[in-house]
Amino acid sequence: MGNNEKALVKEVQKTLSKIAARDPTWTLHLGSEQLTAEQAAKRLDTDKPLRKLVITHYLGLAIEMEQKAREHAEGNSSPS
Amino acid sequence: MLKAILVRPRFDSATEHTYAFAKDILEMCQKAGIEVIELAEEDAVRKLVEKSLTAGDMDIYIHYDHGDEGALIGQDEKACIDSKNCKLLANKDVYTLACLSGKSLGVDIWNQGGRFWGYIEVVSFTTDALEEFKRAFNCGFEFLFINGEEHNAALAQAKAEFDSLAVELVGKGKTIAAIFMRMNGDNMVCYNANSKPEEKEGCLLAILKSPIRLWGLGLELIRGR
Repeated sequence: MGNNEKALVKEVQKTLSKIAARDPTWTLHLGSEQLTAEQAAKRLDTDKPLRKLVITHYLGLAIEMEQKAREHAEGNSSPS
Repeated sequence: MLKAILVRPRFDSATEHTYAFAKDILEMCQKAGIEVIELAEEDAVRKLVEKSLTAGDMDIYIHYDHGDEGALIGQDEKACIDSKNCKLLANKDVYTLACLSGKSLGVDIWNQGGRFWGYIEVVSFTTDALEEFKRAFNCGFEFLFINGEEHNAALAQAKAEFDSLAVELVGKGKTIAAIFMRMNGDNMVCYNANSKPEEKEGCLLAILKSPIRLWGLGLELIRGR
């Protein structure tokens, strides 16, 4: 795992820890598997394919959010 | 009038939720005048599925939930549909939430002349966003059978809905749910008359079906390249 990947996984795990503290009933259904937020965070340390998918979509979401924000800003600044 | 079979087992935590998701499908059908045979819980087993598929002139087979690469799983945790009986789905639409079934079973159904809407990887959802996941999982059904969209247009629209819901979830502070929402949208497939399963492209059958490529390969072999 590269440093960038490690940092991203850590961020996701941090979010999962916050969820675990806030809502102990929170569950991730992965097919027929059920994981608590704490279990999901630990799973990211060992499950490489899942980790890869989570990072891909985490980044994908970040790019989409940035694009939407830019479109919104451009829309607001265009002359009427 | 369209006729559908709705199979919805309920035997674990995931199917507790998907059983509820399927209730909206049932209501959509009732409002739209689609006749539904419901095979729920104990009735969601192979014998009754086969009986219903052979008895009536069905158009749509809906299966919520579990599955694997080669099967849609029933209440007894055994296959309701697999490669042995999927010929019963020829000329029918299959709409399912079952994990992985797009990988192999969906291709088998497509090979039998059926149309398949499902997922090529594990389907996932989180309990903090059940309403959003329900909306996402059911939207393809609405686009296809209620609004009457063409399959590929419905798929594009559904994928856009997953992406839009993912962004909406980030806005609500549900980032993990958003990640899995986006993942599901990516794994969703629809095989129909205008859209082949991707695996078909690289397989031997595709080469054999392509006379030009075959002649090209033959010539290269003769020339000893």
